[in-house]
Amino acid sequence: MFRPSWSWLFLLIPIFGVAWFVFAINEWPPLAGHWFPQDISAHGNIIDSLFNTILWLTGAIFVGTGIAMFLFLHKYDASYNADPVKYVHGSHVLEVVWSIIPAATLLFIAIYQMSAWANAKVLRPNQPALAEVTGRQFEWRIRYAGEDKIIGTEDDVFTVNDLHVPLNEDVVLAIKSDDVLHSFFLPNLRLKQDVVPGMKQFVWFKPLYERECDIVCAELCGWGHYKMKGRLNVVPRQEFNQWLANKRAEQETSSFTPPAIEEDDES
Amino acid sequence: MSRQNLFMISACDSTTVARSWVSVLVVGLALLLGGCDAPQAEFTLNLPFLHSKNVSAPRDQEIANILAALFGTPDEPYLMSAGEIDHRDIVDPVSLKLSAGPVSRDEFGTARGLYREHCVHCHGISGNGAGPTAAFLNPYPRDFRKGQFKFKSTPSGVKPTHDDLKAILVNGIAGTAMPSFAAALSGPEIDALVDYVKYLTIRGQVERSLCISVEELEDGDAFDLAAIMEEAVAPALEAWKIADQQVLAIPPRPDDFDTVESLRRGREFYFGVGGCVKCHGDTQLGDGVLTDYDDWTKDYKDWGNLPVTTPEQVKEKKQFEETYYSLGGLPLRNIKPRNLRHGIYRGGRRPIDIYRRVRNGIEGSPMPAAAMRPPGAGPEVPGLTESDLWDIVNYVRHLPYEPMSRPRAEEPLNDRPPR
Ligand code: HEC
Ligand code: HEC
Ligand SMILES: [Cu+2]
Repeated sequence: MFRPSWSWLFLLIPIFGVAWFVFAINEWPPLAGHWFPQDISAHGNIIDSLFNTILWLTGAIFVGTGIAMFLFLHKYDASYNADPVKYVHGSHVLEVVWSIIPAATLLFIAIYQMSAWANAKVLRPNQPALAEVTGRQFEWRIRYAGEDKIIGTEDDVFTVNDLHVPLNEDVVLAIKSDDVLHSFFLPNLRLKQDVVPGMKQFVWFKPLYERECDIVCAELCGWGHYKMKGRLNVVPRQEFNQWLANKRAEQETSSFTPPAIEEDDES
Repeated sequence: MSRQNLFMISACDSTTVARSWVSVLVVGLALLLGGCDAPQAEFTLNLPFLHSKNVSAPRDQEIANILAALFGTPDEPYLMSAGEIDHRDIVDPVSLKLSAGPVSRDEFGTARGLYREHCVHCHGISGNGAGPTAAFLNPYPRDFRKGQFKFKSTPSGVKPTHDDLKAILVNGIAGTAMPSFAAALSGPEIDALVDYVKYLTIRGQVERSLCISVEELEDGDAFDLAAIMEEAVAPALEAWKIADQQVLAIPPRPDDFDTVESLRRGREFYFGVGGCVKCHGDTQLGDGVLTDYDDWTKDYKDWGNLPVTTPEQVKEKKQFEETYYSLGGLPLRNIKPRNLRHGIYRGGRRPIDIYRRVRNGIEGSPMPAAAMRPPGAGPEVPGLTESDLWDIVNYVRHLPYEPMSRPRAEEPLNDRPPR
């Protein structure tokens, strides 16, 4: 039976929370396009399923907690409950239970994700980095190793915010920062790595689809953080080689003829 | 505000709930209606320059009025034709529409207010290079009003071409805060912004001419509008029009460019006829001359360089600083020659970019144009030839790869033995 009280407002929290996710996951308006972007990487499904597992776990707890809070608020609302406050010492058993269950859950998550972590952060494919990506306020400067596969030599190819990678191949990138903390984030590849000044780090992935997608910065790095955006292009190996060769040729442009000026007669 | 209100509600008992709801609504509405007005954008006068030319009231107001009549406002900018020149040949009126005004979208979803969305916080509404973020940057953003640009295919004193400015927006300026807009903006949007930069430059230059011409006016004389159109507006437009004809042709790089011989010659020129060593230093670290100023600063530098030996002079200097800062001036800084071992080239790293920098100098900075040997003169005449320039370019481009340029190796974090 409905008794007006503030507690109903708090019941809206689990309801809205769940509705939000349901709308977003199903791409229903107005939340269409707010769930995960398409996954184009070989390892992305591992990250996604980890995410979903944790979402289900925490979602169930969130809904349960929300409803329990509502029930208590509703039952003891001062507007219609005039009973005096009673002092209760607490329940030992209850405390043990609600310590052990979360601890076990966390332990489960920690063990369950171990191989995902190792694959993403430890077991780097045995190959040199294709390019070095340097975050600086507020852009990604990219330096390809070039033919000799060594970064820091005269055949390096430089681009800004423009990262091309070959399709269906393991790609290793060296990541560093010129100034402050950034975070190199490829949403479509489910890859994110904080970029720390003074540290050279590596990320690796294997793109499975030809796509053009975003590189974004996922660490507030200053006022221009929101526009620290680049483009990632996944293209077949052939096309990649061609692109790199073109970039290199352009970078070596070593003669210039001014375009002919057509004399426009003014009258 | 709303947080406080929520707190108020939870603090009061339920009989006053209805009243609290009303207060939330009232405050919310007040915020909606009152809080969302942005201040009107206005062009500000070039006050430090006015001050340096001793322009005072009522002349400053007259200048502001003339500028408003000739160029409109930041929301409704326009250009007028002057002399022989049709303003539409210089700046497409559609570009002004897209770039100016508040950030918004028109009925077709085309972005408007591009300048205010992407550039204003650095370059300022009037293109004064002193937007809110400017004080934190080194180098400062460009002040367009002086009409000088650094990285271009034309010689010093000539405006950059449309493509030069476009390249700046697409590539950004490495090593400075000027970002690349290649991903954020489409081609036509970049064209529109380039046009807007031209507009701000023309406006700023006319403003400067007006300030300078105040000196010649008798007290009580009004500005002569016809003369202004003829002597200030027309040349400012014309300068953009003729830029395309002044682009430097660059002969092909000789084939021996990656030989030790070419590098050796380049090094010789660096330390010899080229004169580079004076500024860029014996070690190429850019530590030769550290006390010079760029042209933007030189407008005011004499104030900043006041001698400070007697107490009066100290007082005078302090007074200068207070006036200069109160007029919105940014702290004066020295310009340093580039450290050539970093391999960061603001104007681009292609051989032709470096060639242009060395051949033409960098306008507005102390970096001079190369001293060329007059065409047809024999080797006894001092000076550089085009193939000498190529040797210098090769040498400069090679410097970052010399062993002594290597940075200390970083400590890799997750650089464990690969699997
Ligand atoms: C983060 C601040 C910042 C933003 C945003 C910014 N600029 Fe700049 N801009 C700079 C700085 C700093 C320089 C000066 C670099 C130098 O002196 O070497 C500069 C220089 C320039 C130049 C002069 C290049 C030359 O050859 O002299 C132009 C033109 C320019 N900016 C246009 C723009 C336009 C148009 C936008 C908006 C689309 C923009 N800038 C946005 C900081 C910025
Ligand atoms: C009078 C001092 C001076 C002399 C002489 C001089 N430079 Fe510079 N040079 C500078 C300054 C100052 C800058 C930085 C300009 C700026 O930041 O805008 C610079 C910048 C440069 C750059 C960087 C261009 C870029 O795109 O970033 C190169 C390359 C360079 N100089 C090469 C040379 C060479 C080669 C010579 C000799 C032929 C030379 N300079 C002579 C002062 C000088
Ligand atoms: Cu960032």
